[in-house]
Amino acid sequence: MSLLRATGLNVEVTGSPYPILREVEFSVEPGEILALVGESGSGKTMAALAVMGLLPFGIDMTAGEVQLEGRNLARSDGTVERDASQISMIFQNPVGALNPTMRVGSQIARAIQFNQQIGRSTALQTAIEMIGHVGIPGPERVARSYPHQLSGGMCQRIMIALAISCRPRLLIADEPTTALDVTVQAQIFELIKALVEEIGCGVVFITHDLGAVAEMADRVTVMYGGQVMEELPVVELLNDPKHPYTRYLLESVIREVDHRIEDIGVDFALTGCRFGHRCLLAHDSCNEYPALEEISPGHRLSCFAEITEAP
Amino acid sequence: MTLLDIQDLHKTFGRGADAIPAVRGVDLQLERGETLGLVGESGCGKTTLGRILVGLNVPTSGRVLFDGQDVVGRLNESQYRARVQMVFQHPQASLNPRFRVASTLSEPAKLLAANSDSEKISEAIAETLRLVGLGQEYLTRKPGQLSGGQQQRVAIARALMSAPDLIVLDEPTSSLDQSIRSRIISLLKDIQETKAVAYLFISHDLSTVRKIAHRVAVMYLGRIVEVSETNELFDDPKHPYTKALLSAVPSLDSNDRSERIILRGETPSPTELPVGCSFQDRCDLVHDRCRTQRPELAEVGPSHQVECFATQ
Repeated sequence: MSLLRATGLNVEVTGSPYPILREVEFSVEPGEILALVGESGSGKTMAALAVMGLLPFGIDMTAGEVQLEGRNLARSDGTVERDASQISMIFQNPVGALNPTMRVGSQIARAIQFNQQIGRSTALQTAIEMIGHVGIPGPERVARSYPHQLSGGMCQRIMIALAISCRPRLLIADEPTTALDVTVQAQIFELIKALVEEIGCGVVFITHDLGAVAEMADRVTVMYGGQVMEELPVVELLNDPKHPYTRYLLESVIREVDHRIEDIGVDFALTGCRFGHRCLLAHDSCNEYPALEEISPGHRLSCFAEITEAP
Repeated sequence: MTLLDIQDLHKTFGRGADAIPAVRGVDLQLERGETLGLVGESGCGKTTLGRILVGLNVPTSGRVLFDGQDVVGRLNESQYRARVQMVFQHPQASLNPRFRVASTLSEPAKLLAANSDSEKISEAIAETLRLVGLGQEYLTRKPGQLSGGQQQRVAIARALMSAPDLIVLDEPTSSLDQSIRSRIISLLKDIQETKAVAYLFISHDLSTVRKIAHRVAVMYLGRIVEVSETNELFDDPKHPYTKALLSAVPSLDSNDRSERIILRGETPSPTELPVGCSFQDRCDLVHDRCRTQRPELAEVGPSHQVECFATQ
């Protein structure tokens, strides 16, 4: 049984006729790192927020199931049960995600107390242990610091300590290193991988950086315009991507995209494939929505085009 | 003659015990029509260096020779300003939201190019807009009606309006998506071919720098620790910090990933810099001399300089 299985997620903005997520699905196994990949506006963060039950006001999930170890968290009224003891999230901007008026040790202790019936001082002791655990030297001193006294890399370590303090089954990391320098990013990646080994949690790793995907992920779900385009093992992403959008994305990393090719935004009004109006292989049937279909074990594709030649 | 010659440039913010030395003795040269990549992590002083060149910060000491003339103290003169322009990281924040594209582009022409003929200005605007790949219909748009990539094209067009010799590009692609980023790089290269303008390309994104720069300078805590021709720097980095920085870039190629160097600890605070080499506490090659004496940039090959005792 999958650790997390989200199926048929439809998310809509109140009053807008077009869904911002359509039929989105992805799953994570225990101990696995799944990368959710896409450009700004592809819906990758929205998909994670939907699973967490954290959709902003005015944005609702109108259909879909979210199963955590077989138990459906989606309620019939479109909300999702929040299970803070099982799912943790790390945000993009660590300094902004921490409470600026609380010492970081107390913030972690509070999260621990929220999930376990233990006293304040025991919780603080555990918090200090967690801070040491994520590779911060002098955890007692750092626990007494406020977020603004720490660097961005330190704050992200604190966020990770906070996220794993309750030994979650699932960790959602939303662009955890975008705000950080590459050398710090390398440290954080090592840390996340080590923690996955240790506590065996599954990870949904949201990113737009394909290099980071190659480095971190086991499997990849590629999103565009609120739809899943392709789902495949990371090895196949690098060697044998099938979807025209996935290929285009890889191409733009490796080669320069000619600046004379106009960049067109996502058109949410399209009823069919939302990559259709940019796709070189598009034809009439692309006005329908292509369902995700398995083309080889672990590799699923949402595309009508007959794709044979290598990229 | 070298277009830009920076000599022993210093910039310290604040005074006394709280003084933060952001730039600590930088020497750097830039030729006409050349792209120099300036890379380094947050807080290393790369942006301060760029801002000094366009007169947004005043250096504490040192010389900036532009076309052979010392321009420190004259950085605000419009004659110099017209020749050195800047493009900022966040296009949205650097464009006036109430100005239509036409007004944004006519400002520098009026202020700096000493060009009062409105017909000539409109001609120049039309030509520049074409150069950055935007149609004439964009003239009446306001920044809010443009995408991030289009906004950055307008910001580049604005920088080109005074016919500069040098454009300081401060992280021009960091806030853009990968495919847009790739287009802006290709655009900048085309512009350089047509206009023979030099770029100081400031970025922490090494893969982007590799695509555009002819030479790359690596900055760490206010000093240039290594400068070299681009391919040589990426293929054969000498400074231990450059090596760590390059190896930290996530790569699509699994062969690249064999020798990952994970740096220990954090960058020291600029207010408490150690005596000697500032990289000493994170360096594997550190020896006694590094703790007492500061290395200087020295040649290790043709046009390849490194500031490290271990490589000299």
